[in-house]
Amino acid sequence: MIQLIGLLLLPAIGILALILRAATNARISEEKIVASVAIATAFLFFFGVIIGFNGISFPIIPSINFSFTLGLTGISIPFLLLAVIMPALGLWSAYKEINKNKTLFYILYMFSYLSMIAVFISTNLILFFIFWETILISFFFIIMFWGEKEIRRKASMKFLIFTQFGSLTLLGAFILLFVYTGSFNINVIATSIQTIPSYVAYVIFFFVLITAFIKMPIFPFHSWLPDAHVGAPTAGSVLLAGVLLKLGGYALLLFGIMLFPTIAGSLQIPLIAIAVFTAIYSTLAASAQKDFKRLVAYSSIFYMSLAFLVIMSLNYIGQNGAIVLIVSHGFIVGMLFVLAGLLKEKTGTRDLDKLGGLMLKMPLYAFFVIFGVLATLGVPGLSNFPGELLVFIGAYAAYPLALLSLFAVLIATNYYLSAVKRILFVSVPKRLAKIKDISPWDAMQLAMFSIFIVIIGILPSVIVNSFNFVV
Amino acid sequence: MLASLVIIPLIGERVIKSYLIAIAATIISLVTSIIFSVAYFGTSIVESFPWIGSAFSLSLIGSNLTLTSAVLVSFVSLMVLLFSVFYMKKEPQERYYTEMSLFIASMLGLVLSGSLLLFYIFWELVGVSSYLLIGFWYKKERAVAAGKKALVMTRIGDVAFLAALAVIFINLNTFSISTILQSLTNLSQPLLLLISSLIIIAALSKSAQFPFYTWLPDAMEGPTPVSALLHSATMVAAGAYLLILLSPLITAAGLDIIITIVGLLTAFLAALLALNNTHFKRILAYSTIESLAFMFMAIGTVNTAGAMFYLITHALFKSLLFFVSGVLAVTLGIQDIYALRSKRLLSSWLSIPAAIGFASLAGLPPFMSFFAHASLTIGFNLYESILFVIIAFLTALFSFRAFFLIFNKRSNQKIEMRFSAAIPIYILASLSAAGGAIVIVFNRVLLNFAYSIDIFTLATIMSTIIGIVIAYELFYLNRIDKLYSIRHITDKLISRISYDSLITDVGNLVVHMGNVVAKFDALMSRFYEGSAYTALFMSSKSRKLENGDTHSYIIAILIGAIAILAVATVFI
Amino acid sequence: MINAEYVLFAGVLGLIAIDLLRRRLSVSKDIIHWITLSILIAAFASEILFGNLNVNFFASIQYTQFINGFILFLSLIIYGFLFADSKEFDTLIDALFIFAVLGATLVVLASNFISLIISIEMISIASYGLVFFQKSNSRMEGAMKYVVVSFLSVIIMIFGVSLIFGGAGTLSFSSISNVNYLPFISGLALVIVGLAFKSTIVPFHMWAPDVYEASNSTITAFLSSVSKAAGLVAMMRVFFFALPVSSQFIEVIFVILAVATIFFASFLATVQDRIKRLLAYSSIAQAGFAFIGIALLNYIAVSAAVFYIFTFAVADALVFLAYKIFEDNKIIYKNDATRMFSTSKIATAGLFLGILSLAGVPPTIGFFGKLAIFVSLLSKGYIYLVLALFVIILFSTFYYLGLLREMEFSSKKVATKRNFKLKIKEALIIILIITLFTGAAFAVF
Repeated sequence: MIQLIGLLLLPAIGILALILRAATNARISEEKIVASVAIATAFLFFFGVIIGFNGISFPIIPSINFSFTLGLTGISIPFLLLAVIMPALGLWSAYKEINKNKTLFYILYMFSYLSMIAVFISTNLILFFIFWETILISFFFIIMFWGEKEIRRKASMKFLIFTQFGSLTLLGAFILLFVYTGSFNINVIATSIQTIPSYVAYVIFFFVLITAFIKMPIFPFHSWLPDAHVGAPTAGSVLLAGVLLKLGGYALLLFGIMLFPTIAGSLQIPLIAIAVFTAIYSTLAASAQKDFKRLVAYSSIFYMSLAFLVIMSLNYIGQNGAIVLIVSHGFIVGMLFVLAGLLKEKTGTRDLDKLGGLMLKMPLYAFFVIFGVLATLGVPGLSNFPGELLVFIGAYAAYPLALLSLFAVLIATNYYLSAVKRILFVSVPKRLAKIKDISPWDAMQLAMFSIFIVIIGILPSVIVNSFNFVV
Repeated sequence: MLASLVIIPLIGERVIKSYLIAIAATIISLVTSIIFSVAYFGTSIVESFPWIGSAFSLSLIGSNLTLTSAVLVSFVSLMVLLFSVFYMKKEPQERYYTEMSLFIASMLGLVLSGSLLLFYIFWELVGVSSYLLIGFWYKKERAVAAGKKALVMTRIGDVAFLAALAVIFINLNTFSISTILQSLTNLSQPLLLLISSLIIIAALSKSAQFPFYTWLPDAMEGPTPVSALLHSATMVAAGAYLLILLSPLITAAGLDIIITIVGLLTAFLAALLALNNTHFKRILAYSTIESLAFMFMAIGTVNTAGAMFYLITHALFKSLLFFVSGVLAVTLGIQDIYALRSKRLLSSWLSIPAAIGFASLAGLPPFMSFFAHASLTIGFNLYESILFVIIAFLTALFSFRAFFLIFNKRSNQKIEMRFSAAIPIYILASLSAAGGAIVIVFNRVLLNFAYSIDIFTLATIMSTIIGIVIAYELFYLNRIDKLYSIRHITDKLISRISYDSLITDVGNLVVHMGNVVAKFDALMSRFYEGSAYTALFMSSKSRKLENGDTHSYIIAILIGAIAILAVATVFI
Repeated sequence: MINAEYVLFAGVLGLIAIDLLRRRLSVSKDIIHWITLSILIAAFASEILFGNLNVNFFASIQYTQFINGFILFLSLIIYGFLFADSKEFDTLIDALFIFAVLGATLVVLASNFISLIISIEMISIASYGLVFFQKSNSRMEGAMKYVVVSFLSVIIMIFGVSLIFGGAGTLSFSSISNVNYLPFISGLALVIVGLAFKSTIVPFHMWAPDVYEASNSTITAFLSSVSKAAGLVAMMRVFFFALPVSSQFIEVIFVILAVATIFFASFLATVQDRIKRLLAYSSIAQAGFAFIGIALLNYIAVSAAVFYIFTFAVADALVFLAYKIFEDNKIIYKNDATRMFSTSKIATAGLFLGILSLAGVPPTIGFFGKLAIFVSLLSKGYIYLVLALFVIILFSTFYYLGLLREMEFSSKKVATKRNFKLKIKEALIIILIITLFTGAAFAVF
């Protein structure tokens, strides 16, 4: 058995090492420290998945039931996979992009790394919230200080205000749970959930719902996401899409659906309607985007709305589908953001109107773009396919009209293919006559994403068997 | 075992002479599928692999139907690959053969699927690989647009299929085709209607039937071998194949008549459009649509065996015709039939295979296609038969119009005969010519197979011959110009029924809606920002209250004190 | 028992005597600073060892030791800053500072309206002097404003107390019963005004930004943490532990005042350009949060309030002291924040973490403080109020972190005199930062 705390100690050691490095002017580079920590954590994680994890618990402030309690919830493992892998994959982009205040960046990066892992294994709600907020704050600074010059201020503020409101409502839900069950421990709360009066239960569910709406995000609280993505550096975008958006789904599953299935059931139809609307809305909005990164951001709203839709389907197949889709989307959209970053790096623009014919100049890049787009579109053998399949089956089982969201799939096909056409095909603008293909080093990063996408696509049972969702 | 059939074509390339590997793999597939179909003749074996839990298992099935289809697919693919050696000499080999291999493997997987889920997986893969292949010449804007159009249009069907899968799985808890067909009685009538209409939509879009057919002519922008493969044994055949597999479902829902009607309508439209077109490959594309419509009509009359037989026949002669067009395109660089007329090609080596191909298209005896027509029409009622006779006339007219225009007059114009082009052409031509003999044994392969030569068959032959004669009169002898006014009218009429622009409009509409939504989204985003600014503005107003003047401070304190006192009096 | 108050009182008298002697002998004034420092240390030690005094007019209750403990602790740290700058001011300040600290500890202990007024005045009068720290026009103006407005509030409060005496017949907190409600409630309302003035509750807060800005930042730290904490604790003492009045009246008034304070101050804070003024308004908003805890008048809420007062006092002291370092380097406006990091990394970290704590971001104590307040609000069912507070917390997060967004991290060294003085200050800031993270251990419900 692996102690869960090991997953947190490694990044903590990384942070210390970064500080020591800065203090002693050691020769080792920041990236090396972060990379080695990430690799070690990943190994520890996979090893742990095989032989099992062991929780830990010791009280910190007993009077408010604040204890350092680590343990796996039924759905931790798939989310942990994202939290452990994504930062490692984002490191490539960070290595190229971040050239000022590296130490500070990597300290923040490690802080968010640590917190992202910790959020998914904290079973004490205060501890959970502490890490939840740490992620937000580190991200706020990552966007603010290392984002794209033009819009980083606005983007970071918008990100902060929206997601902070989501955190506060989550905090409200936690406090209400504490007030009525007398505990911040998720397991204790789950057993004494009957003591909560029904109107309070509604309030709690509502709070969690707002959190999920903001974090996933769902219309009308999505407007922070495109800005945040465009504003963030590539590494930030990868983590943002790969892990942060998933926090909303995790919270909704854990505190909304698992604790209050009956309330979720009574609100099912309107929520499904909102999800379907968001799906179509976001795909339509994506159709009109000219910035590739913004387009990917909107499409990521689309996939999260599918996940939300099927979480609300409240059936076994649907929940499986939601988690498979969430994990798979993490890898795919991460890859697309890396591709968008490379586009900017190589051609100096992400404006679809100013691009074209890159397939001739950058065949390797083109391969990965086509791969990524096909993966998003749910081509069988790649990871979105099992997710989408289960999603639509689950959605139908819950509410047949939910299949209207399939129209969004059509629209998504249309705009993704248009984007591919405008980036890769037809003729090369004169301006881009001299660009070079991506380096093997970049290709390696993309290949890493692809490996996960293919593995999940071919063997989705790897993900499905890793969690145990009880409604 | 059966899985190997699917995997073999996928085996990699990455070397310069990748066509050798692709061809070798396809030969192995062909041989194995022949061996399997002989070995398992009359039995059916199932191989099942669990995927997501046991409910979502993927199974392959080897039965007469599936293995025959596998033989057909691998055979036609082999021919196409051989032809590609000739046609694609100057193109990037790796990418082409990789995508072709994917295409062939997907189609093999599709025909062998025993579960609807696996069928869907390969169905999508076929769509995607055809997208990649149609847009193979990525520098040509039209090719890219055509690829995109093909994928988007067939995606409508994919989505319908996916919805059907969801409905089926939730109600029957299985994907196995045989189990589904056995438990049809468990489904209520509305559900049956829903499922079969979704399945029909899927099939219509994949097989380019009305109202989805517009993508197929555009798909001619791809390389000719791709078109040949796309049109004969893969892609478009998948839709018909799906309906053949699930025809009991359609029958149970009572939607047969819809399929027949759509088939008739499509056949009629396609024949007219073919008659109007001058681009060789486009004519072939419309003829494919028409042939598929024939299959749909047969399926609509619960004559799946006839449809299947026609599918096989069509695969052979259609790839033959495409090869002919491919040779012309490579050697002469011309695809327009009027432009080809001036080349006077009648004496070239291509004319006999082409004649066989076009005669097959028109369904003339004694070619294989004649028997296919005979078995196709077996379930038709009186009206359908009459309409079929009319369509047969139109078919003969447009196919021989093309033939007479292209192979017009003898001359010394030589077309170089390349080994890799000639072999597949001759093989296919001889099969199309003599393959009719299979008809005698085919009812051992597929149950319920029958054909009859009756009064309507004769009527069809008559109308076909009339069509050929008219075509000869008009086009070979070049009297068309005298009938200019008629042509003008038909042109106008036909341009009405082609609704390409409608599709584009729908696409534009989506983009427009997208723009509107994006504007709204930006507005909403600005609303959020605006509310922040309003708050800031209000804050800056309230700032004036604090002006550093001690008098106002004192007044504020006094006001506050009085207010509190006032509240206090309420509570006394 | 050698209580802290005795130590301070004896100390301040002795200090004045020694100072007189020193002036005669013209010895360096350092000795006075050293003595002051040791008095404060001794007071803090005796507070921890012996607790508070418990006499007729001054009585200890449950929280007093904790409150006085942190008051003395923060005073010690703040004096450390003064000590580092001791070249700049006269030795009189030392005595005034001890007087103010003494007043603050006595306010916490006061168990009678008379003793309450006396101790409050003790802080106030000492504070006037502290604000007028160095001779300059702006300090003079601030001090004068403070004096004038403060007098008014004291007068109102004394009037209120006399009304209470008229209604209840006693001024002791513990023996009030059988009251005549008309004068009693009116008196109470006026006492609220007086105490609200001290704890900078809207609309009695207006002096605060001006005075805070006019004073030396070290003194501002003292005023906004120790002095304000004392006012809030007095409020709590009077209204929760002493008076048998209809708590509904108090609850309504207090909740309105608290919400008004939080909203108004947060709005105003957003539009400030000067960092110090922004911090001043934020400190007012913080008082509003603590006031909510007092407003609810139940055991959980008051415990939450006590803890909240502690958390914001620590954080406020931290941000103002950190700001002191920047102020010395001419970082006045938000736009100057670019130079923060190069001026002092530790002070930047201090300001940053202090701000996070004020914004209620975990795992700083600010988060636990807000958590406690929300727990008490929600257990009384104020869900809508909590939602409204969420919005305003967002607002405050906006301006808090907006303060940092001009910051730039450049590794190039700006010519900053890294002398011994700065090192002491940075060390003190580190101590406060540690408190910011470990202080949650004092959270009690």
